Amino acid sequence: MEQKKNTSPENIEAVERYLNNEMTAAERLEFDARLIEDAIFSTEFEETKAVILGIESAALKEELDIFHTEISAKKTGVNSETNSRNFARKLIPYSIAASIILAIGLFLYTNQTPTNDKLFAAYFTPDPGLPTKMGSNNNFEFYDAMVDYKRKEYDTAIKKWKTLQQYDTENDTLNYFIGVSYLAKGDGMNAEKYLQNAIENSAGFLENDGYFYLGMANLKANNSEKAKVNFKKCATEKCKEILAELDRK
Amino acid sequence: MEKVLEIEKQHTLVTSIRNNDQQVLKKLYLSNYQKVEKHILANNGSIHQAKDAYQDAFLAMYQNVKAGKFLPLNETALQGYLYTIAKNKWTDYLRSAQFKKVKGISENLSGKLSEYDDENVEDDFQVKMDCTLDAFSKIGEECRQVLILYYFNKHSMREIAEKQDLEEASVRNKKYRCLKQLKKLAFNKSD
Repeated sequence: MEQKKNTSPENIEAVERYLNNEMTAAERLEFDARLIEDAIFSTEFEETKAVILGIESAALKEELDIFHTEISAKKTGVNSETNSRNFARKLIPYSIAASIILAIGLFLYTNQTPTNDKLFAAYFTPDPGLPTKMGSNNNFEFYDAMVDYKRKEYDTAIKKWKTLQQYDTENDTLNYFIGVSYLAKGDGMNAEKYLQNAIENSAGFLENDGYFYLGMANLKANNSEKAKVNFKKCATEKCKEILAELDRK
Repeated sequence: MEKVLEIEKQHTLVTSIRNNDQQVLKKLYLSNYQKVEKHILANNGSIHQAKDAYQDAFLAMYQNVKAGKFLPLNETALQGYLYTIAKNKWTDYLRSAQFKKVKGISENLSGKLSEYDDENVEDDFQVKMDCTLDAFSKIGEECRQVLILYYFNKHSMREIAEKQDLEEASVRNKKYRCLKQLKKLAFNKSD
């Protein structure tokens, strides 16, 4: 009977208020005294505390897999680049012939001045996006917009992500994908704003992709000097190629 | 002075973790993974094992911070703490029968790893929490939703009611029923 009384909604709410520091000093004193005097209440308190932390841990556990997709996505990018390099080594004999053709191509190309728009068109492809995992938590909205992004429905994706971004202005993932979506629409100015924000809040995880797309946004906004600064911060072969093109201008 | 500011940042970090600030948790997760992966790959582990050990360590760090078992004493305390837990977990695995059965551990490696102390936090509270974690996967989706929204995402009853198109009193009642059901499953209790 006593035990039943201890697990009443009122008691559980009291435990929550105690754990969240929402009690007045007097209430807290009374609660502490009860914990000492009432062994059953004390056991129930420990159990409720463990259950709450267990729920939070279970929710975090689900989140960790979502966090990890970003690490895996970056690694896949790196691996595919490495694999491409290994494959390229096997093609050395063919590459000599290709080099001659390329040299002719380059000769013809150098006789034209590559405009920023041409460079953008030659090198821009939207980020492939994240796997669309529909979890049971509040990431639903995020991944719902990711589906629109992958369908190239950029306006819808931007609208949905911007609603989430209002409440979480420094979220690097949101800012990154809003920025890339604007870029895919050809809006360099807006893309710059969101990509800059994403890089500043990414703890170094958006170094290559972030600066690549920021450089592309600068190109789209016709600012070659700014673009050079950002491409220099990106270590991929693609960025180096664009830099070389920009330096030839 | 700079050191004091850095320690203050650590206290802010701890407070954010206690409040389940998901952006802070994500940044902390992403920025500390590589170091752990490097250690595990250098000590007979695979990328898959590095991920598992790191997630276990991250969860243990989170639980200890929430339970007030960790207080930052220097400017990189929390990051160091997370790395140490991950290293210890991996050391435990290498010493375990499961690993020895699969691979066999060399004397050299065994000696090298013995410098790390075991971290045995297996107390009654931990056991109860682990039971809850197991039981949580067995309750219905509606219960999981309401409990996550309330306890992890820190949404108010009113916000959950709006989200689920229910009366606030119904949500309160549902949360209570779900919590009782979870306790019953976790601790095998009638109440």
